[in-house]
Amino acid sequence: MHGHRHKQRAWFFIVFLMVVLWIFSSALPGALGMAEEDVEYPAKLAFLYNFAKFVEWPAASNRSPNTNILICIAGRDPFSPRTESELRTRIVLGHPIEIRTMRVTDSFSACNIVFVPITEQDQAANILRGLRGSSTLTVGEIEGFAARGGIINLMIEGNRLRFEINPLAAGRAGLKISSKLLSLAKIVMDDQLRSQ
Amino acid sequence: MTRPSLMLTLLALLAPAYAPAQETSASESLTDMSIEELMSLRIESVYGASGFRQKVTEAPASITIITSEDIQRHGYRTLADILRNVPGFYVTYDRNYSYLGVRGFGLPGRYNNSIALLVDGHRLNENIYDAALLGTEFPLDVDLIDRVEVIRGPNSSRYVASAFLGVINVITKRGHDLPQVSLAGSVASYGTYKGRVSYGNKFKNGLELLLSGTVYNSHGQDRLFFKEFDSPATNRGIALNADGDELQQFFGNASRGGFTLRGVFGLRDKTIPTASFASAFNVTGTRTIDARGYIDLTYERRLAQGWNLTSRTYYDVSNNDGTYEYDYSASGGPSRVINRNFTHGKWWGEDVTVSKQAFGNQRLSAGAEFRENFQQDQGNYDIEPFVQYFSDSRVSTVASLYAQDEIRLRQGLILNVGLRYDRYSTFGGTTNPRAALIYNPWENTTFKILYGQSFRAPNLFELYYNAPGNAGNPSLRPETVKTMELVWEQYFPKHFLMTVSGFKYPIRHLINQQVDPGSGNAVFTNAGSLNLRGLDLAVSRSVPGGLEGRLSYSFQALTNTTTRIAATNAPKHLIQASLSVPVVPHKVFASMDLQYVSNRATLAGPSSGAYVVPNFTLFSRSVSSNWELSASLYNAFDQRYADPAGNGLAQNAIVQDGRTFRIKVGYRFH
Repeated sequence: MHGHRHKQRAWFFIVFLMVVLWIFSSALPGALGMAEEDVEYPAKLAFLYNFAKFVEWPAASNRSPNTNILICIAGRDPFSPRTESELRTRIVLGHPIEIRTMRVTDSFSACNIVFVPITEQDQAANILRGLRGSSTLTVGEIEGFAARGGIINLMIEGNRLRFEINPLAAGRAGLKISSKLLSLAKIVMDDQLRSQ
Repeated sequence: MTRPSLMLTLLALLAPAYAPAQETSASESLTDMSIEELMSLRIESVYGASGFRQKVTEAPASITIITSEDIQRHGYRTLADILRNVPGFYVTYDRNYSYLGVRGFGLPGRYNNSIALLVDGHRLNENIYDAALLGTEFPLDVDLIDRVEVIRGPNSSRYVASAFLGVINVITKRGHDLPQVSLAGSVASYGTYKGRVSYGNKFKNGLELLLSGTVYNSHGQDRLFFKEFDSPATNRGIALNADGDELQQFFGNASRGGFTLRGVFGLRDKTIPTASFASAFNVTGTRTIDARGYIDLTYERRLAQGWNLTSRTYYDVSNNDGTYEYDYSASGGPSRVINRNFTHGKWWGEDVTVSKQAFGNQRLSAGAEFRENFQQDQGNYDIEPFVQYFSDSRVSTVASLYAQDEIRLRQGLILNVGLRYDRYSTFGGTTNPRAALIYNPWENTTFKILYGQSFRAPNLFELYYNAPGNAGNPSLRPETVKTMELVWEQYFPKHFLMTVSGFKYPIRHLINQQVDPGSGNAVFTNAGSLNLRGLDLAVSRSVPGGLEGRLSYSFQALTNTTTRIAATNAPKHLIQASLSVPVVPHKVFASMDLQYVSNRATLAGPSSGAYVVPNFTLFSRSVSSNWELSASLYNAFDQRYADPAGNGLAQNAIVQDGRTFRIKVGYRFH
């Protein structure tokens, strides 16, 4: 009796594991076929691509068709070469995407988008200062980036990617941000305005 | 074939399934995702390993994360349920408290004092046993948990003592996670009812608020049979209606600007059916009441030049009141005497941490902590006729300093070093270093080499418990552990992650209870020396918004260095599987989890047999998330099994629950 139960359980156990193995090893329909390395930076790069789609630059600053949308990475480049080269094949409203890694001391005013990685947070204020008056979308991943004059800041809440938008900073740069993007964002104001 | 070797064979069969078939590009599909889809991706990051948010692959430890989604989908009822599914962990229950075994270290009678249990960074271990409460005694409803970070290995360079074997950091939800009023109620086997009401909001002025209350009442098993009491005088070994469990909990969280104020309070009353500490069998008056609460104010501020300041001020209360019914008639005394054994603790403390991202490639943090235990009372007495056996009141302090630096030596190579100094008024000072080298040779591969030292300070119970038959030992020194661990994390296409980890923990000066031949008293001494060695293997798969699964095997050996005998409650093999599949995308999930725990030696007598326990849950939520419904079956195949018992119990092993169910309903007004 006892032995019988034991055997039954062993069989159940084997069947259970088989089921687990089968589910593990077969790709479920609808599953996204991506290599799941660390997803944070590929996802952030995909955000930059989406921002390019949902932001309108002033007519003067760009661009006849076929001019590039220039995405500049300030300082250390956290994105993998593979994900970047994939993005370079994309075209947004007739404009091919170009990605360039720049030194933090370079001038970014020719860029359509500047991404300031966390590693360059000491330089963020300088970069923002240097971009005053130019129509560049500044994107950071630094706490308080948008509140200190950046336009978009990517952040992680819980385990999910979220972003903040500073609409006043966007207005100063002459950028029009789509209402869809605004509705998904957390809206922040400039630090100085808040303290007044 | 024995079960463990069968398992190994199956695991070996697994291997070919994961050979990377072809290089599929991660960015391809990510670039095609909408912003909403990108926002629903799960970014694995961990806070508790270094005190700042970092990638799991870059943290100086082997880490497992459990999210609120996992808790819902799998129908976890308590923190103990959550932890028994963590690779390499197992839980032992003596029908009063739940004890965590970590990588084979699960010696009975230690009340989880070898792990640091934190809630939002606040230390939950109390100040008499350094006990951490995990079952229904854990003072927080699991519905309020946003995620649990399990960090293996010693973290003494960052956290206070008793991070001897690891850190469990529970992160709670905030006001916007549970908007407006939400209700949850459940019914479960053995007359178990639970209800929760919560209110959350984020106001225009920036104030974020979450308030929640929970009540729980369980009749428990009507009849529990213990063969050690199988005689006519003790109801043939059957304890009737002596398994009740009742609790009330309150949680509050208010934050605005850089300030966060949190309050936690839990009161649990458990009837003890096991006649512990030689009390009378088959009575309903033997119980413990645990009251645990704290208020914690944290303040975070950005300073100039990239410095961040965090300050934490807290006030804690922990009362454990045990009531034991004794029958002294055999020795000519009264047949019913009520005995009380209590610990009452109060403490406050202040932690300050500063951190800075320096020169782009370093992340520095340093901090100081101070804690004053201004009440540490223990006592034991009979109520009627009043006899005081023992009473002891103490105060003590702990002051600590630590520093830690994460240095990016070059692309893909991180060195993490830390040093911590603690000064205890009870035994003096101790310095503990740790170092980790984290190497990313390729995009999908991480190697970690980890070294760390840690200690566990002797607790007040071990130092000063002088009730008759016991003698405190004020000259106890801390237990020490040095750990070496190698971790390999490998991502494969189609969301597979494989983790392999080998470890060695020499444990010295183990604080062990022994009988002093001269006086006949039980005394704690720094007598033991143990070696813990082992290997963890885990394969997991997590598809965004869809299937989540994990299969793990752990081998571990905890042996006495001189006798070479395996330690008590140390299973050699653990197999854990968990799988959750969306039946209707985003709405209905079918989940199962399973634990296999091999033979464990008991304190005396035969080992407790191996067991396999599978649990199943069906979870469903409405599109607008207004309704949530879950149905669970625990120990679905009614496995009979028992956990090794600790000191103070006549039983060799304590019988566990058979098949049980739970139905849970949640509703949100929004």
